[in-house]
Amino acid sequence: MVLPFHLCSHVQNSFRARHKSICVPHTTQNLAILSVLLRTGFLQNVARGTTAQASPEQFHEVGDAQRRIWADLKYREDRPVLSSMSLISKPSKKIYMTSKEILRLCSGRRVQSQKPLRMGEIAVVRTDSKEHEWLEAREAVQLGLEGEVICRAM
Amino acid sequence: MLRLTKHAFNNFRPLQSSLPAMRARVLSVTSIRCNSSLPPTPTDISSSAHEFESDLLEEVEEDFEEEAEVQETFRWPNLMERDPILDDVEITNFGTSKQSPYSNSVTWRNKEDPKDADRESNSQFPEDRDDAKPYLLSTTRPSLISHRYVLVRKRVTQQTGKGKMHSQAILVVVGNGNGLVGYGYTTHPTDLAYAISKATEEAIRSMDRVDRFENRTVWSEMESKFSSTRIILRPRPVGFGLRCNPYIHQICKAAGIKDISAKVWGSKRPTQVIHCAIRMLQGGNAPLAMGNGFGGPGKRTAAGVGMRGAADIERERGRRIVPLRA
Repeated sequence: MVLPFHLCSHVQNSFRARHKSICVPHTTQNLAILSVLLRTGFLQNVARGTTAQASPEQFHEVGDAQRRIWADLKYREDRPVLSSMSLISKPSKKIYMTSKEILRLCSGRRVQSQKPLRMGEIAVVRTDSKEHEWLEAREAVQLGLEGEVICRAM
Repeated sequence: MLRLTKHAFNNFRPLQSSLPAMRARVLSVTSIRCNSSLPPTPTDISSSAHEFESDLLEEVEEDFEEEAEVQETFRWPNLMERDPILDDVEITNFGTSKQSPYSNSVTWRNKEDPKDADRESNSQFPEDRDDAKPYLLSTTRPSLISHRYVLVRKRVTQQTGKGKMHSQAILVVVGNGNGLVGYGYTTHPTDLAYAISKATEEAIRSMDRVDRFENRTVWSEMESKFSSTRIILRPRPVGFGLRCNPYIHQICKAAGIKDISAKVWGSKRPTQVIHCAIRMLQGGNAPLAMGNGFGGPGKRTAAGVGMRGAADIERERGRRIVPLRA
């Protein structure tokens, strides 16, 4: 499994450089994390495409190597909506949390030496559930699911 | 003055002017051909002069008619009667007291300016009322600057070829205790009081809103660095108080923040700490052309994102923020 730190830094740097959209390799992990960002309001649009452009039709015509995911970045009031995105669970130290621990994290208390989520901050959680595999932290709390806390975005 | 003259005009009358005397004056001017000492007769006057004289006489008659209309309303003042405006007098009597055995009285004449009589005493706008005070010092409306703290007072020196030039440097933080705070920094070679008042003016001009959670604390943990000063501000529950650096304490008091926890790392230079803290609390952002070279690079002191409240974040993402505090 490719580590998500590349996606975190790519999204953060693109926002700071004020790019219109980003283009990342087409993997389930990338698609899932970008979907969580879209659900929580950081991105304007997520679409499949090719190396050339975002196009769901042409996506089916090219091979795996040319397939990409395109995401349109969101700017409001002359500011980027996403200011920082960073890893929580690293290869050197994996972070797995129960539903209660994720609740603590969302409520402003430290868990497993991790700083709590600030106001407006989200965290992406990967669970073992087949139906709800990639969730935002508060969604995981609502569904009572536990899993690996992948990254945080603000 | 206009009202006074109108009042006088309506109540007083001049002497009536006489038309025959005016007529004689006109005729003496136009009768140039008359050489004898006798009064002129109509046959002595030439035709052109006659026409001129008749025009002039017509004008004089018109003027006299106007004057006659005016004279009907004009009369001399009756000095035996008391005039309500001109004879109005306010007498204050100071009787004997413990401090002095003598009694005195003070008489105010022409105390009320007649033009002030037009002012509405019960205007809905406080500025129009008789007891209107300057805006900033008004006690009827909420005070704009209820907090003013002189936080830095130091003697700064400029070394020149001819010697040292000393100045007094003042930093003043100003706030209304309910969401507005600003700071001003000035120097003056000699006058300390002048420097303080100038710094206060600058501080008022630099005031900006502070977005607060429940009107008492910051929204989330905020960390910022300015020069060699690093500050973190943390929100705290009700009744916690201001447990922070003394300069941040005064700033929070002026801004109306009641519960906060803060830590300053690195340099604790007052000017830097104050600038960094106020930059974090105010909701401003750097100017658009900051640092891209157009119009020159941006000032380091103008940088800073500032505080973003829940409403700002909700608006930009298009999602509600649901707090999950137990």
